[in-house]
Amino acid sequence: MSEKINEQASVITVYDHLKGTTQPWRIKWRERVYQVSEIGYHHTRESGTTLYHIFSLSAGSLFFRLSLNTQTLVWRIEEVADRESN
Amino acid sequence: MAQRIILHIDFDSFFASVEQQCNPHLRNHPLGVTAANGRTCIIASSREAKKIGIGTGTRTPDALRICPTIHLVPADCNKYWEVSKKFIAICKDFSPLIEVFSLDELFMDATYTAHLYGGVEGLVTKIKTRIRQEIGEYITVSVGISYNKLLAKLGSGLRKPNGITVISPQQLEGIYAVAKLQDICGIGPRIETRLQFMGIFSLLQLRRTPKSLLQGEFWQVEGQFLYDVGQGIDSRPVTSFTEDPGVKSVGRQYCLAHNEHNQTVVLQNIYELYEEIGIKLRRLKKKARCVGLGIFGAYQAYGHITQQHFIDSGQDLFTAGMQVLKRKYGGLPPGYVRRINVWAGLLEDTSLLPGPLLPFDRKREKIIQIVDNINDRFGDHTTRNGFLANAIQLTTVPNGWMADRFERKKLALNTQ
Repeated sequence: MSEKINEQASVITVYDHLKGTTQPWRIKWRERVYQVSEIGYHHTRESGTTLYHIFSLSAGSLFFRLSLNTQTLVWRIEEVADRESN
Repeated sequence: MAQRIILHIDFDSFFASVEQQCNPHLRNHPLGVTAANGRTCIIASSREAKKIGIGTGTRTPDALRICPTIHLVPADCNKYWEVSKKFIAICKDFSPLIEVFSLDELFMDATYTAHLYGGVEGLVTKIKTRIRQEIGEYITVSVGISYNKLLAKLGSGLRKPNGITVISPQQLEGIYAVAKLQDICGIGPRIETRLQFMGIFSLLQLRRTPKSLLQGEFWQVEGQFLYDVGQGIDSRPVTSFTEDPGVKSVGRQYCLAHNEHNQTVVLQNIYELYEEIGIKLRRLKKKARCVGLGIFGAYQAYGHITQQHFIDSGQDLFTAGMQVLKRKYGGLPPGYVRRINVWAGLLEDTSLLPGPLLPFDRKREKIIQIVDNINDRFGDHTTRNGFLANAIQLTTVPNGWMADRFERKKLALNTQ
């Protein structure tokens, strides 16, 4: 099941100086910790002059769409889906 | 002059592949991308779905009947737009002559750059590698390589997914022996039917048809085009993204989320669409004199109006559109509406037109400018006309066909 949500989450990111990339590594949401297993895609989105970084990633059997508001540096979970989502 | 090297690079199952790239759980499984507003039609299907007969345009209930476990995800045009930007940025590194043909395909003239990468095959391999590294391993492209755009486009469609097809003058007859008439960009079902009435069922037969016969049936221009197709002739250059798009008209078409009976909602949607083309006109620094409107559903109402003066505000365009309805149909006819089509033509550069004369008009122009600035800064539709206060916001991202030349240029110039 896929669900659109808009909740803040705690995120640990890792910066790789060799690749020059920053990626979420661990997410804490609703008192549970999820280890990121794969970053599917990263893109940006602009809303007015605010730039958002969007990470589509999987953590075990869950899929998350995370957004980072580069103006406020707030992480939000925009969407969650499980493996059986349809 | 050396023979041209034209590439046509086309994503495979673009929208669906992007969704599968983003969410690894969706990979290797039939997937359908549906319209974001909830219309019950699949606008793009994955390779796995195509294999079992679920293609673009399949209705959702039919798709679920064929494959009850199919994943259905709503389209996220912003995401596709971003992928397309990355794709164009990669291609620009290999040749400056790039023509964006739609959101997921482009032409590249590599005549003068292919040798830098060890030939055209080396160039294609490098592009594919960079797409895999920078966009994702699940997103693939098919490439057609030939000496003109017509055959390059034909080639990319012949071996999908992830294929490379080379069409040289010597291979043309062999390719025409296996390709179908409708594989050619520009030959649709209606032209195919007319050709079949003439006894032409294959590209090889078209190749052997005299020009006079084709022009007798299809007239000068279309007959010449079909003759050129038969001979594999196409002298159109690859128009670089840096060239002026030469916009002649702007338009927008929208399919409502469901068959809408509420006339206020229909009018709000018409207003919003005119607002959008107004924004586009102002970004182009142009004004329009001709305004068109088409409404399709329980009835078909369409027409256009040509005015004495030039306009570029959503409100003026909407008023002109309403005049079309009033003159031809006495107002908005009763019954449900499925699709709305608005457009503005006979464009002129704003700098060549006299400014507003009356203080009221000058004030109004200033207000429009301020509203544009607010929306540019805080996002589209931040400030809206009061008539749209409770209306659902439309997405301003264009569809995959990218028929709009202005949007194509914007996409090409806006790459990283």
